[in-house]
Amino acid sequence: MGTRPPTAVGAVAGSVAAASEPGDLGRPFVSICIASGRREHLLRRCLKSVLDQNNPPSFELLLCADDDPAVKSLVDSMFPSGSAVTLLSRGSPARLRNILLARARGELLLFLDDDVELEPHFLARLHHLAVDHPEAGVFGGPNVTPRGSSVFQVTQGAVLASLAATGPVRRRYGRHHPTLADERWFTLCNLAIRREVMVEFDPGLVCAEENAVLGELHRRRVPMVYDPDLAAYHERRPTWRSFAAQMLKYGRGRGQLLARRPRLVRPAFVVPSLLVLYTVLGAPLALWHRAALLPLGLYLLAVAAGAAKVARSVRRVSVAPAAAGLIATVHGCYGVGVLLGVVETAVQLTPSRRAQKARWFNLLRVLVIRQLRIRSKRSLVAIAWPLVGPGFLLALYVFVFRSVFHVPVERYPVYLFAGLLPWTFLVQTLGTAIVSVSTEPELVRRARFPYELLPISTVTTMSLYFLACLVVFVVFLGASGHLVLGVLPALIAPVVALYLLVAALSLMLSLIDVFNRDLRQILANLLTVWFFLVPIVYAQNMLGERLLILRSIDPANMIVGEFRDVLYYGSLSRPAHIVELMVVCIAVYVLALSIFRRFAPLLPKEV
Amino acid sequence: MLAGRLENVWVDFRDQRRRLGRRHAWRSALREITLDLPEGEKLAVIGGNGSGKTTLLRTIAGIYEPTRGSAEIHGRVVSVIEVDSGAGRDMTGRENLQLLAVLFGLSRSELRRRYDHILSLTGLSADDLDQPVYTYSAGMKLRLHFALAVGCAPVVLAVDETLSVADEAFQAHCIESMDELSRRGTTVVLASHDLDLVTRWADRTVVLDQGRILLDATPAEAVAYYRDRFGDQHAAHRAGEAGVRVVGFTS
Repeated sequence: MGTRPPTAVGAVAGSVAAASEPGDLGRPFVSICIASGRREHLLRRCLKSVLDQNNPPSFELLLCADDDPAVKSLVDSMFPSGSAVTLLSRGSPARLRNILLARARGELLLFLDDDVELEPHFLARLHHLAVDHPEAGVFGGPNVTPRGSSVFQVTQGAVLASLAATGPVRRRYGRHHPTLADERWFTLCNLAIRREVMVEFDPGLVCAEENAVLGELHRRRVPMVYDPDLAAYHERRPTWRSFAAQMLKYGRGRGQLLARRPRLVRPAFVVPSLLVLYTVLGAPLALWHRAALLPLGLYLLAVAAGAAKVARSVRRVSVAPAAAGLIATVHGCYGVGVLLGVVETAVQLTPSRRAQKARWFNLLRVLVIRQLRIRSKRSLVAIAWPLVGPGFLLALYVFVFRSVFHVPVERYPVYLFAGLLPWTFLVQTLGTAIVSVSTEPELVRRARFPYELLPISTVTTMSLYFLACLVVFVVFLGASGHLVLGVLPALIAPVVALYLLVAALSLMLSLIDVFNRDLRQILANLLTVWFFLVPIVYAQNMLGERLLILRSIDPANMIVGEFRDVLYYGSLSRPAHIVELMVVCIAVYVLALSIFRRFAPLLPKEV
Repeated sequence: MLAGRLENVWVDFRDQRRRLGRRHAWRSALREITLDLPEGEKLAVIGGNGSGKTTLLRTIAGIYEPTRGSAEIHGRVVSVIEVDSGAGRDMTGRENLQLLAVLFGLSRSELRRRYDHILSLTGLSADDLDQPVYTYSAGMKLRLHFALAVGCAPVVLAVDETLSVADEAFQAHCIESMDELSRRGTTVVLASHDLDLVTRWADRTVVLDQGRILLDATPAEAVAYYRDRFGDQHAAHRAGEAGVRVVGFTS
């Protein structure tokens, strides 16, 4: 077999001298540096592939595990008698790699991920290349899909290696001819860098630290050698969700890097983000101008062609739909990730602050689930009660205003419900949210957390009921033949505006209620007055001349108008009107949130 | 190393008496508190009713923001101050644990990792944990909250005199758990009226009165000082706990 046991760290001087012509005596030729997460089973395979190398040069193995003693015991069992060094520390992968960097003594620093497997000749090939190309500072190859992977994982690998999905970066994921390369060809999962050209990893970067290092080396004109035989088998993600998360993470890292070092921008890195921006901002313009859909059509054609090529490369026609989805996932998630990374860096959202935001988002999720559960306790109809309210009001108002007052509006129930739906959401939510802080002393006085999550969780819970009602209503309209499907996307803006408006009012009311309980007594009366100022049960043209101005200044009036335009008239408002509505609601929300936060420190003392 | 530090902390409360047409007055519950919290220390806080013990614990826990001065804790602080229904009286013990753990800042992965351990720390049966909290006794609620506090692996644990509702065995278990946490580097702050426990357990003790620290010393010194200065009130308090009505003292 020609397999040789690994050289101990500075322990077997003879084999070091024999194998490392370019280096000093007593110094290993390669330092294999692995920053390991808590993935013991994957690391075991990785280490076995290191042990199974054919004719390797002398090397030392350095591991930095994320404070996981299990990794240390695994390494000790596989590399007995201290022939590997395991350090336990905490921090970002870049920080862990910097720790390894400080300890490494080899002439070449080989960075591996803990989820890769090396081909048996990897180290020998690396040795040859380093000797043959003394001028080169960086050596690397592709990361390819391991043998025995599932069809999904094989398709994933083929998608990553396709031009349609990853553009010029595809060489990282598929074998190409050996050549001089640039930083786009390599990833850190199998990358060797000569010690004399190496620079430290930026600990502030997650997932793009090698891009920063490689970008810097490229700027210094350090030659880089790409060789397909330096391939590593890199574990692909088992599920679509984890693949999407991986792409988002890659994009986020790239975005952080681009915001810090804009000179590293290349068109391929920003195209997915432009695509995302077009989908969010440009495509909705198709409601007014069909030509806005042209880029989308071209994109879909490109994705279809890319998917067909992937299906051909894996020799399975059946994977084409999945390949198309994966290509779109790469673009969407990477594009969103880049935008997030840029924004995070611009607003100095550090990893610890981001982790805290994630925790508060999780708390919001748990609070919403709690509210749904509380509603289901000791109740037969349980969570369906908020759905009953609008239905009951609809029946009542239809009877009163059509049969008794004879309001002259065609299809009056539809007209009424299109306005009543957002209004009942507003009323029901405000009635619940006003006490959302003052009735929760157990939570407020237990720990410090963003107390605004209490009213916002109420609004979010109620908005789920609202959306359920809306879907039922839309289905009813569709079934009765009164729905104009093409204008339905125009509902997104008023729904978002309504959420923001209700959240803003809930924040203010819940804050006031902590200090003064009078408002909750008269809230119902105030809402009744407001109800009759908004044309919900009567037609807009029945409003007096003097009150017509409300359509321009009252956000509830605007929102009801938008709902009615789409659901009743089947038409679109002017874009300027939608922009005005969004601006008003965002401004109101931001103002309410800042006032709430200003008084939040007083809440535990007052509830 | 310090787990946290309070520097010249004042905590004021709004005077709740109605004063029509006049601005609210403020009452200080803590005054000029300066306190170091070294890692792994067992700190006891003693003082009469209304002396500011609970306010001090809440300030350490970050619940009350100082009106003046600064309170800095370097890491997660968890408090066991009130034995109440937590996340809601209709919620089960398990549901309470999940919500409160997130409230204390545990991420989803952390909660997944520690959930079984926290459940085992409660000492409650699976049946009990599936019952709504309004069916729980005060002791059972304490078990829930204390297990969560210990299971969160905090940097600082603040415990009020709630331990008295637990049975003797669980009280001993709580003390043992606090010792274990302290050995692992957690700073434990305990407010208590049990002066024997304070003498036996604490590394350091502060005496509070009217929101001020009167003495910051060894437990023996602090307890002796407290007995000397507030002996009568303390005896009255303990007698009250035992159900005895105190009609007077003689010197």
